[in-house]
Amino acid sequence: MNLRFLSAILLAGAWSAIAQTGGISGTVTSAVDGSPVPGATVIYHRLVNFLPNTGSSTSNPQLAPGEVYFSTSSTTDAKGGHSVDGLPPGTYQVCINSPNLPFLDPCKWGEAPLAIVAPAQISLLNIAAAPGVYLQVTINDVQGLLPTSESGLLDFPHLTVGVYFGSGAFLAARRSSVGTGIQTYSMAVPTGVPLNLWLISRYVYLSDSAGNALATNGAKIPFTASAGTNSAFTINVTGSIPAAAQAAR
Amino acid sequence: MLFLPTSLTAQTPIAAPSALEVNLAFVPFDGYNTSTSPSAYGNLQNACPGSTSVRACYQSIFANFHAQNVTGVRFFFGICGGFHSTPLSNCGQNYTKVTGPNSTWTANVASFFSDLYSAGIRNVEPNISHSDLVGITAPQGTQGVQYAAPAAPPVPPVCSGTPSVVEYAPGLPYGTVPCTNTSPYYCPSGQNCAKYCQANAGFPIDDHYHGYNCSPANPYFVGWTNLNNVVNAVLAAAYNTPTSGAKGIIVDEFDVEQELNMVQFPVLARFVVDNAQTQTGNPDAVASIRNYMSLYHYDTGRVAWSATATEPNTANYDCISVYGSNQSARVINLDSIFSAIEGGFIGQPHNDSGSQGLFCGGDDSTMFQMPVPHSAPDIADLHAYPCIKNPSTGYCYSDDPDANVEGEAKIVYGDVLAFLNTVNPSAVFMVGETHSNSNNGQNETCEGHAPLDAASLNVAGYNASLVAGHSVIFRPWINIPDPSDGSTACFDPANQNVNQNNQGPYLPKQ
Repeated sequence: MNLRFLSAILLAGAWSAIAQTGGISGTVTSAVDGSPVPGATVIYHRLVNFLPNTGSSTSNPQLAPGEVYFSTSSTTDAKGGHSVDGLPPGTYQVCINSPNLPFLDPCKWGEAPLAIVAPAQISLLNIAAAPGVYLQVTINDVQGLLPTSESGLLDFPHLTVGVYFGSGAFLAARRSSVGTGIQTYSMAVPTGVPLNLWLISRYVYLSDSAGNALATNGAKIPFTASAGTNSAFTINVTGSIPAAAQAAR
Repeated sequence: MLFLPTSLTAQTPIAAPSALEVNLAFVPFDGYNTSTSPSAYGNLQNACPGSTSVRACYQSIFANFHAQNVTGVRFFFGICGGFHSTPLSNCGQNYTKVTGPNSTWTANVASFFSDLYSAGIRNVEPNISHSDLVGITAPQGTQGVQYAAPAAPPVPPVCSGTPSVVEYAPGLPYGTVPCTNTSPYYCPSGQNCAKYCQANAGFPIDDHYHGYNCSPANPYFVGWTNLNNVVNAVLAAAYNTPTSGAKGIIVDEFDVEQELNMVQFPVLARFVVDNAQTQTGNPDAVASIRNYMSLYHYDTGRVAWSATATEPNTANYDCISVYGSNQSARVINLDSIFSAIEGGFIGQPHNDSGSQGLFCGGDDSTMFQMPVPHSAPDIADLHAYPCIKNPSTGYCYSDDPDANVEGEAKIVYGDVLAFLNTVNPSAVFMVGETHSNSNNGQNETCEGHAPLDAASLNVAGYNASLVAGHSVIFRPWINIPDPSDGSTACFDPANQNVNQNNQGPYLPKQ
């Protein structure tokens, strides 16, 4: 094949790919004082349309013609700026994860911002993030009954720590550190609203810091976080649930 | 009455230990008696020529299947009138006004079990039909109910792209997208909107990451207590067949809601543990239905939610999913269901490649963790119609090698072994729906337009797969009253042919 012709084809293809994508750019700032939120992960997730049900008995929806799943992320700079390009056109749900500052992800605590991406255009999306405080749960496991790591997503958690709020919404906290006989879980939570700390395990018995046993079918501990002050709890692991009882759950 | 095919060729048995069951699809329990003619239910009469009643029709079908070494059946039942099954009354009103199950319906279910028992078929897998996704008329609660968005966080947020009007069916613990909706998220500009909306009517609001929290509660939901009362009635009827406490019918799986796709629609996890209709009864469906199974001395680990296998766009393609380095994206729905039950992560992985139609790779950073952990089920129910689909039709290619049935079967069933070994090595593998041995008259099967020899290729692929030798039940899909393909030939009793004269293609072996 004529190499000049091949180069022309490749260039045309590359140009076509560039022209068919777009981008999103803007800032992430505090909803209270407008200060920038640096170091936050901004997640862009494309919403999709599905084909009609074909009448077969399986119900996995098929993507409509031209549709594509696409998700990517960027990190905000010192001024809270975020930008991404190379996005297939469409409507994007945009979430934020701020690991170093307790700002709330609007996808979890509010209504996810949307951005419409058109070919060869950059959509402006400024996000005002609501500040919260950290919920910090310390698990004292002096007997070492809880695993300190999981081998994968099918190595299911032996302890679930999270928050119930509103009319049934639930968000799990991630384990943030593991030490000798101690594990901690943390997550950003809003202030001034009623929340319930949720703890449940199929494997171990739990008690609160005063030594009161927690219900084995899940314990809700009400609290309301205050602005500027992290909400801290200490929970003790007091023993193993017998294997037969674990299996019966 | 047996309907023999014109020629028989001995088939290789399904690798032992294996059993053969069939899907009956919907059973019209409202009319399951000796006074209702099969003609009252459309095409049902064509499945049992000469039968004068619905009950006699099913009795003839059961005899036919028993003669083929079928040892169990799965059946759907509607709860508010869907396909002529109405255990509950006043659906669409507040759950406190809903009553049931009514005694006529319960008696008819008992008659159904009695007929199975008499035919020598002892295993059943009831499947609640919470919604109607296959075109059968079911009464809707109140359609087009305006949903008022919450005023401000932190209440459960509104899903991205939630339309201003949401439709509620009484059996669903969430809202669905109405047909009249023309939002760009559900009806692409320039496309046939009516066509798309019709298809999407059964899909919940699309929010891969947060649907469990953000999808609105259904104010017309029938309620968990009422649903559990129906479950209790079904289990009691099985337990008391043929006589009180005889347990002549074994409930070897209770499929609470079929084909949960919690990768794309995490709100479906409300069928497992509901967070939105908690006032209507015990919202922990795992715990409550396991409790009912225990009351009647059935295996509590057989409470299950079935999953569909995902076929790639390209033959023989496979990849690893977010669930682990030995977990195939072809069975990601099984991973997701066990995760939902065991308090793990569901939803669509972040940064997955979406390669060849599979959810390959990615990470869990945006996935949702379920609030309540339970022990693993004793059964893994995968619905698999191994084939490569024609992208222009959405159906299997109707001939090999394009369809690649045997090759696809070998891969997807083999992928199940790594799944079982990770989550519960002693769990039974239920191929809960798969290729029938039917002919729509156009040299394709009645389900999915697969090649005519798809069933035998399916077995060959299984026998060549890594999971061969694990305890397996094959349960081909046979929708007797309403085949997926509307061709006249599909109603023919000759299509109730899974193992005629023990010649296969689904020949079990212990």
